[in-house]
Amino acid sequence: MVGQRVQKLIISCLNHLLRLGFLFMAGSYAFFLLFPNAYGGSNEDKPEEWIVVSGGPALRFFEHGKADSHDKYWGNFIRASVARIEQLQLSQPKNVEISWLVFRPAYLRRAQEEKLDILSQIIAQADALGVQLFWFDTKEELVNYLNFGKDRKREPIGNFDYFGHSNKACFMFDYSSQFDNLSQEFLHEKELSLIEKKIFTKKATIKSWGCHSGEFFSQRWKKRFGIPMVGAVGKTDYTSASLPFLSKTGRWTQ
Amino acid sequence: MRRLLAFLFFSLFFFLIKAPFYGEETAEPQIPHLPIPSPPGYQEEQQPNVNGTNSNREKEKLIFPPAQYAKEPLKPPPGIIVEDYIGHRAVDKHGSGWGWVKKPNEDWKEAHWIALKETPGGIVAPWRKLKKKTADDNFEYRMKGYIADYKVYDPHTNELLEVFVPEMIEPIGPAKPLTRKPGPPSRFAHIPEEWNPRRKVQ
Repeated sequence: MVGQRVQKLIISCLNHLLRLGFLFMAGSYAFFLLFPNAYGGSNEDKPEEWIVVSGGPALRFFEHGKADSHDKYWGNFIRASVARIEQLQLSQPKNVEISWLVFRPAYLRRAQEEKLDILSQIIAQADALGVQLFWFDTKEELVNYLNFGKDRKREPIGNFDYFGHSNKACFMFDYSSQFDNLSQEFLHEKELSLIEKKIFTKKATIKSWGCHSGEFFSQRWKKRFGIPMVGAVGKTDYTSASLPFLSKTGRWTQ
Repeated sequence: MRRLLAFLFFSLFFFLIKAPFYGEETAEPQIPHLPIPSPPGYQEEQQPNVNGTNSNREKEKLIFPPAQYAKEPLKPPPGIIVEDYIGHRAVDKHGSGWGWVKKPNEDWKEAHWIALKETPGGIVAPWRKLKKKTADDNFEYRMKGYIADYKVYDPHTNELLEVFVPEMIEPIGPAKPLTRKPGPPSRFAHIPEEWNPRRKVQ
């Protein structure tokens, strides 16, 4: 008698466990159907845009003869951007498109100065890489593209790289290009509010390859967007014909 | 003996005739000639390049930058007109501003601290003609142009500077340093700068 009762008890317990297990599995299945990206799930199906921005070179007219003369070669930021795009393409999923934004006026001025067709060379580079090339002439055009260039709810920005002149508070797209040692087209940390907060994915990778960004700009970026921006403490050097490297005492931070 | 005397006379004669050719003073003027085109009508207003009378050697050595004129009249944006200004060059150790500009009837207290818009091949900062950035410190200039409707960013001081677009720059001469320190008002006012790189035209 006792044995039969124990047997029944065990069987009913197993039944309950099976039901609970079944309910848990069904619930989990429904939850993942409703929230596919929960718990850091992959974004493989959701489209993203990866953006690389290139600022412009200085004019030799302004920089010639200075002890710390910038941009002896016009293509420092272009060459580095190309290297980064090639790197991104190695891990580019099918749902991701890469866009390259280049500050045109500075290259036009340098082209006039050097009597070279620089714009055609940049277009040829973009064609060879198979990426979309967008020129921008003002800060407003860049900000406008970031905010509305794509439907950011459907296609947020998953990667953002900046190559160009900068100090700890500012990206300068035309340093020493129109004015000696000065910049007319720039994005200051005080202007980060021009960029919409929710245009980036939660796990977007953001990096400034310019000088000094890690000393202040990165912190302001994190405060504005909630996602870190990797930036340099110290100077970055573009003489490597590839991605820039840090100066001797420099380091990356975010 | 006669031959020797004849040779000595001949040598003396030759030396007297040809002597000026040896060690002759240079024919170059103190200031190299800079071929800057001047439109007709401006010729009479041009200042002499070298200040001065022969009595004062220091003044003789004072080198003036040449006058500069835009190749074409400026076309400022709507609401802004080209006007006469007086410029006072002031070297700023901290930043890259050029100096002060004011209208001729204004006091220097009302002057604007500006960055100068330079055009390679056109009007450039006068010190470039003197090769040294500080060469025209505290020089004054007669200028024609306008203050632009945008400001530029100085990364060395984290400041915004007003911009003067010149159509003409003529040197007046050296002047006493102004009582104002070089730099934009925000540097000394201790008030937060109004952060608006695009100026509203009034």
